[in-house]
Amino acid sequence: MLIFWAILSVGLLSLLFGLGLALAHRKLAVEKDPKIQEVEDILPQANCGACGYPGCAGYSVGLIVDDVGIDLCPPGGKKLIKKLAVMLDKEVIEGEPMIARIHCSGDLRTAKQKYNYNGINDCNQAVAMFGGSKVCSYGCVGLGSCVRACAFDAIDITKDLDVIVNEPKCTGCTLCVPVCPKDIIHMEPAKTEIFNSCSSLDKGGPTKKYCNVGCTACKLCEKACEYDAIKVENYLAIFDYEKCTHCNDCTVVCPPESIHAWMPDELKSERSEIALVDYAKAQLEKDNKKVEAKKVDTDSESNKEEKEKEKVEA
Amino acid sequence: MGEYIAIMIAAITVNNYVLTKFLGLCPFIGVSKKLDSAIGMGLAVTFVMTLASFATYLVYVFILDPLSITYLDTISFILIIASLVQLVEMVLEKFSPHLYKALGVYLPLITTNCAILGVAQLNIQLVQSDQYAFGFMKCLMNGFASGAGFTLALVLMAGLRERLEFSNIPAVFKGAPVTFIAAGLMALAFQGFDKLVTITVN
Repeated sequence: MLIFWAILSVGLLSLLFGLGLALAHRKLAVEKDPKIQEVEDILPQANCGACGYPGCAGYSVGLIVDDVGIDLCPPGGKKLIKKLAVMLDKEVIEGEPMIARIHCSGDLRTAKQKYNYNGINDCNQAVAMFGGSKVCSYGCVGLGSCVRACAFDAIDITKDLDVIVNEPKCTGCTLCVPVCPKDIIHMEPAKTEIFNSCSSLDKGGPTKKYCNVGCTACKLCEKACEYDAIKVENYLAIFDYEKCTHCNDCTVVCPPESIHAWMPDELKSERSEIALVDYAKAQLEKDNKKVEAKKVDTDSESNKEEKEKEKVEA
Repeated sequence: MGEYIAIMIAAITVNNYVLTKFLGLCPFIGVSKKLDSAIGMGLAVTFVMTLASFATYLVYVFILDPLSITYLDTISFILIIASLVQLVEMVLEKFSPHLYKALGVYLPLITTNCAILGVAQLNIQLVQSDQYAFGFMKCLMNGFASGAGFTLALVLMAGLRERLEFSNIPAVFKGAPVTFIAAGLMALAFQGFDKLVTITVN
């Protein structure tokens, strides 16, 4: 009997509240423009927030109510702008598609480390410990905070912690830019191919000491460029993409190969696997040497002790 | 009349839901960045708390208690609070879209705000224990005053945080850490009201 009352009372209560809410919804309904839903349906539904609104639903409200520009959605690209222009009777805005680039290619193999970081797997946490484990204070921390921030799975991280933007996948949403504690992710025109993957403002000597792929400000690229598109400022080669013709002259002359184009996946993973094997071998050798050295030490010590004992006995 | 004032003072200071009972901390930290949205949130919570005290008292005294199914109090209170919050949300969206926008996601979160369930539960405990002849009006008063206490804590915190924004804080303390420290110090200050009025159930 008790359970009957329990079910009845709670059931009736919920029915009552449900009916009340339904009534209230009818009376208090706020009329919304049906266009908002139509616009929301053609947005990419990535909810990345690159437009500055909370998700695609927010942007659709912004488009209709606040009358903001139709070019704020990087993942949608040109297609979306054209669709929106037709739907909202607006002119097509031709914005230049941008992509994110990480201006550091130093990894465990190529860049020296100050210490072994074993903390929380987050770049901003690691930077709190003496600015990260790399000797280079400008370089990528390599713990992949940007990888996790990316809504499009466009940033890869190799086994030896080199972080690369997979450029065909990048939509230019800028989600990764604020995450980076070193501010080395820059937005650049998507049509460009070559960039300087180094951010070190140190002089050539120090850079060369701690990183094999760091820009040493040797100015060879500046001299090699026929189009005056590269300038070395603050010991770092900087591209002027309005002049660059992608002739590849600079990538050929660059001694540390810090100037290069984005590499396809297969190549990169192959390279990193080989590197990993080398790295592991080197580590093993080091460890073995240490162990051997210790053995020798203990052997000599024990010999000494035995000799001393013999002396005492004698 | 004196009893009502005692209840009010107790709910605002001694039993302040945020600073001495540590309930409803989510909106306390989340909505206290700006003074005006803090006031709006405080008013919304006060409104829901008062209505919830009203509705939970009726449901408890006239449905749950006579049928001796008082063990269902939590689930039915949650039901009541959730429906009320939905109603408040609709009303706000209709009559004050700006406040609706400013409160954002924290408005539906009142549904699961433990402070409101806490008020309902405390009311029922006081009614049961019958120490203070706790009736309908006193329950309403307690709900309203608890909401007022919540608003007070939220507004004080918002005022503090608006000033903290412009002060020179060490980098490691910026943002949430310094807010937590400030909240802890405020809670410590509110301990000073202890034994000012005693309306508690143990």
